[in-house]
Amino acid sequence: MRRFALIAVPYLWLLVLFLVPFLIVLKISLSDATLAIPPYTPTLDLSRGWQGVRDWAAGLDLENYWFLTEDALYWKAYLSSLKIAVLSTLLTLLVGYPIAYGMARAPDHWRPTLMMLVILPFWTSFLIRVYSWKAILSQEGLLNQFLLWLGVIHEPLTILNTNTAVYIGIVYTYLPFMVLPIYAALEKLDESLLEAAEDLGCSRLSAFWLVTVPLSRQGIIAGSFLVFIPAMGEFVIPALLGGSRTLMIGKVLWEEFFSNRDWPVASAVAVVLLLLLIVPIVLFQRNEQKNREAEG
Amino acid sequence: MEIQENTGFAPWGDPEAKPLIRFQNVTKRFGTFTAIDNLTLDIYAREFFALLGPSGCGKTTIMRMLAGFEDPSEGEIFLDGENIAGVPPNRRPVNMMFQSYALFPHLSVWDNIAFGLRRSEMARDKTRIAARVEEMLKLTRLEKFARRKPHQISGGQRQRVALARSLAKAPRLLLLDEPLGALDKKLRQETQFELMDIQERTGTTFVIVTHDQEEAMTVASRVAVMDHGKIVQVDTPATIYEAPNSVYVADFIGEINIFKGHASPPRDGFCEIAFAEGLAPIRARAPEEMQGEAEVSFAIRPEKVLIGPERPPELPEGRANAYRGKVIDIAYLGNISTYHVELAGGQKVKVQAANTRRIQRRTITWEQEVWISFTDTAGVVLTR
Amino acid sequence: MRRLSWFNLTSLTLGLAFLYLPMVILVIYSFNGGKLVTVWAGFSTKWYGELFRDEAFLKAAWVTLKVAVISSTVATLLGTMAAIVLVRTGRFLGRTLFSGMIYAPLVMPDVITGLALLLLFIAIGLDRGATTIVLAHITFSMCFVSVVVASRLQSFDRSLEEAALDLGCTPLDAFRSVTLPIIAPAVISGWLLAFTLSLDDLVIASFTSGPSSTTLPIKIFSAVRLGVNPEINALSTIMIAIVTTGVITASLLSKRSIARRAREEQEAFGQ
Repeated sequence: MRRFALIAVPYLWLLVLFLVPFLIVLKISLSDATLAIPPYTPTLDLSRGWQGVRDWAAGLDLENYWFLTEDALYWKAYLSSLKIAVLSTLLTLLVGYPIAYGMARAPDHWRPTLMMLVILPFWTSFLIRVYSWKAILSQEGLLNQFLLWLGVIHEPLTILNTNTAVYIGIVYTYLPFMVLPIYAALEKLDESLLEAAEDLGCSRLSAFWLVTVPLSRQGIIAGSFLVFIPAMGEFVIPALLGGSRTLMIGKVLWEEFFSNRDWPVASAVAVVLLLLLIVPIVLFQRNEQKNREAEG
Repeated sequence: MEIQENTGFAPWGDPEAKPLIRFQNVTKRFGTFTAIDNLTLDIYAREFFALLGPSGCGKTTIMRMLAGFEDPSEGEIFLDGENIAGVPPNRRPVNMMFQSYALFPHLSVWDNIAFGLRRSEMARDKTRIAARVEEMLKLTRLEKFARRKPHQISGGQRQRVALARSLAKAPRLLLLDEPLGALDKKLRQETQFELMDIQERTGTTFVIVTHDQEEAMTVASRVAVMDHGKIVQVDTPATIYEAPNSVYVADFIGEINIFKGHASPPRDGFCEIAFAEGLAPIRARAPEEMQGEAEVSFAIRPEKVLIGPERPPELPEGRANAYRGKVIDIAYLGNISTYHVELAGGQKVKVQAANTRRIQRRTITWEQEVWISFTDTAGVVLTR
Repeated sequence: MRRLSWFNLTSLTLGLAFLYLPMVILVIYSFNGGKLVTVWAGFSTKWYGELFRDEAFLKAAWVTLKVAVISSTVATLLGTMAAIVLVRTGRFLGRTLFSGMIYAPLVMPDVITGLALLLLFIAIGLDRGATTIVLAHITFSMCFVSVVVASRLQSFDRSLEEAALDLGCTPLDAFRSVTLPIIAPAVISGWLLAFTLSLDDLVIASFTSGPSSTTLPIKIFSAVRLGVNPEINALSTIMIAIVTTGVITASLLSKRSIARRAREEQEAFGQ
C-alpha cells in the first residue's frame, strides 16, 4: 500500500503535468487557427457524446506541418539553429577542454577551489550572465573601446545583435557544462599511463593524443550533448544578444505564440523541434548508461 | 571416520538433542540461477558454526535467509521448531554482523550500540538501555570510544562496534558475514580468539560465513564446506582436515598431494593404488564404502610425508610407502620448509618438514636425490 | 609536489577570466553615476536607491521568492519520492515511462515545456498566476531533485538499511532514522538546485504567468531587451553578491568538514 502511494504520487504528477501537456500540444498542432478563444479549432466537445469526438477527430490534419515545409522561414530556422548549436558546441569544447585539463593537472589542494570557481557561475542567474555581455559587445561597448584604444581597429565592430554575439553567449553560459564532465574524466586518468606512454617512446604531444584524449572521450561526449541539446532550443541568448536576422527556432516558436498568436503553428514547431532533439537525447542517455555501467 | 576431540561439546552426536536451526530441503533460486540446492542442515544452540566456501557458493544466501532478507523458494527453515518463513527481519530474534560492518555513520558508537535496544521491548527504559550499552562497551573494550563517530575509530575498533551492536539485543542467533575480512592478518588472528572468547562468555549461537579456511578451522565447532549451493561436508575442523570426504574438500582445506590411480579390491581394510607405471602401488586404508576395485584419488597432507637422503628403514614391516625422487624446489618459510619432489613417473609431491636445526646443518638441497615415505594410514582414499 | 606548466596556468587564467570578467564589469558599472552605461561618470550608489524605490521590482521580487520557496519545497518532496521509486522499487507497470518522464524534462527546451504547460492550464481552465508558475516549476525542478537524490541513493550502502531492519526497525523507521539522515546533504542540494532553477527561470514563467504575477526574470528581461539598464546592473550585483556569498560559505564549510574528517580518520588509524 505504501509502495503504491510512493509510486503513484510522483507518477500521477508527471502524467498530468508533463505527459498530458505534450498530448495537448500534439493535438493542437493538428488543429486550425481561428480568431476565437481558444484560438484554434476544432475543440473537443464531450457534451455531444460520440458525435463530438468524431467531429473533433475529423477536424485534425497535418496542414500546419505542410505549412512548416512551405514557408522557408521555418526550415531555415531549424537549419540555422542546428548550425549555431553545432558550431557553438565545438567552440565550447575548444575553450572548455584546456580549462578542464588545467584543472585536472592542478595541485590537489587547488582543485576544490577551481571546481567552485567553475560551478559558481552556474548558480548565478542565467539571464544576468547573458545580459552582462550586452554592455561589452555593443557599438560603444567595452570591447570596442578596448580594441580602439589598442589601435587594432579604427572603426567600432558590430558584434551585438549578430550571430557572433549569440556564439559568444552560448559558449559563455554553457561553458561549465562542458568543463565539468571533461574534468571528471581527466581527473580519473592515472598519470602513470602518460609516463608509460612516454617511456614507450611517445612524445608529450602524441601521448596526449593517444592516451589523454581517448580516455576523456566519455567526458567530451557528455559535455557536448549537455551544450548542444539546450543550445538547439535556446531562446534567451538569441533574444538578448542576437539581431533581427538571427534565426533560432526557440525564438520563432516564442514569436509565433506571443506575437502572431498562432497556437497551432507554434505547437507544430514544438513537435518538430522535439522530434529533432529525440535523436541526440537518446544518444546522450545511451552514453550516460554506458558510463554508469563502466563505473559498475 | 570421526576424529575424536577432547571437548565434551558435541550436540550433533546426540540423537536426543533438538537443533536451534533446521533447514529442511531448502532451495533458493534467483531467476534461473539456483543459489541453494535442496539443503538440509541442523545447527545446535551454543554452536560456533562456520559456512566455508568460495565466493558464489551460496553461503551468504543461507545467512540472508536466516536474517530474513531472503525467503526460501522451496523448503522450510525452523528456528526453535517454528517455521520462520515470512517473518520480517525486524521480528526475528536473530542479529547480523555485516561484512561492511554497516555502522551508521551519523551516529556515535554509543548510539550505534543502543540503536537496536531502542527498538526492543526495553525501548522505554532508558536506564536499562544505558546499562546494556555499557555492558557491551565493556565486553568489547570500547568504553573509551563511546562518544566517537565510526570514522573516528580504527578498523579493528569498528569491527568490535559492529559486534557489540549485533550482540546488544542478546539474539538467539548471531550471524557473522566475513567478520574479519577487512582486518589485516595480525589483527585477524588476535580477533579470532576474541570472537571465540565472546561467544563462549555470552553463550550465543554463532553462524559465521567465511572464505578463509584457516579462520573457519580456528573458530568453529563445526564447519560446513560448500560448493555450488550444496554442502559437501559438515564436520568438526579436525575431521574435515584429517578425513575429508571428497577431493573438493581435501583440496579446499589446506595443502594436499593428490595421487590419481586405480585401487585394488580392499583386503583386511587396505587397498593398493597403482598411480604410475614402474612404481610400487600405494598401500592405504580403504574407505568403508569401497567395494571391489575403483578409480580413486589418494590424498595426503605434505606434513605427513617424510623426506630423507636415504631409504628409511621399513618400520613397521610392510606398512610404509617409500619412493625415490629429486628435489626440484625448496620454499624456506622459517619454521618449516616445503620441498617439491618429483618422482620417477613425473608425479610431483609436496613435503613439509619442521626446521628443527639451523640452516647450515640441513642436508637436503636442490637437485638432490631423496627418498620420501609415508605410512599406510597417513593419507585418505577418496572415491569422489 | 606537482606544479602547473605555463600552458595549464595560461589556460586556467584565461578561462577563469572569460568566466568572470563580464560579471565583474557588470558589478563595477552598477556603481556608475551616469545614465550611459558604457561611460564612467563617477562612483555612485544612486541606482541601488532607484531600485529600492521601484515598487514593481520589489513586488516581482516578492512573487519570485514565494514561488521559488514553495515550488522548491514541493519539488524536493516529490523528487525524493521519485528518486526512491527509481532506485529502490523493483518492476512496476510503466516503469520505463516513469523514468522517461523523470529524465526528459532535464533536456527539454524551456520553450516547449512552457508552451505545453500553458496549453494544459488553458485546457483545464486554470487561471494563470502565481499558482500556475508554481505548478510548472515543481514539474521541471522535481526531476532535477530526483536525479541528484537518485545518484546519492545509488551509492548508498544498502547494508546500512538492512542493519537497521535487522536491529528491529520497520522499513519506514529504517528510512527515517538511517537513510534520510545520510542522504540529507543530497536532498538539501536538490532543494537548492530547485530553488535556483525557479529563481532563474524566464521562459517557462513567461508562458505560465498571468498579468498579476510578474516574476523578477520577466521584469528583467523586458527591461533589458532593448538595451542596458543601470537599475538592472544594480539588481544583478545584489543577486551575484548573494549567490557568491552562499556558494563560498558552503564550499568553505564543506572544505573544513572534509579536512576535519580526514584529520580524525588519520588519528583513528594511528590508534
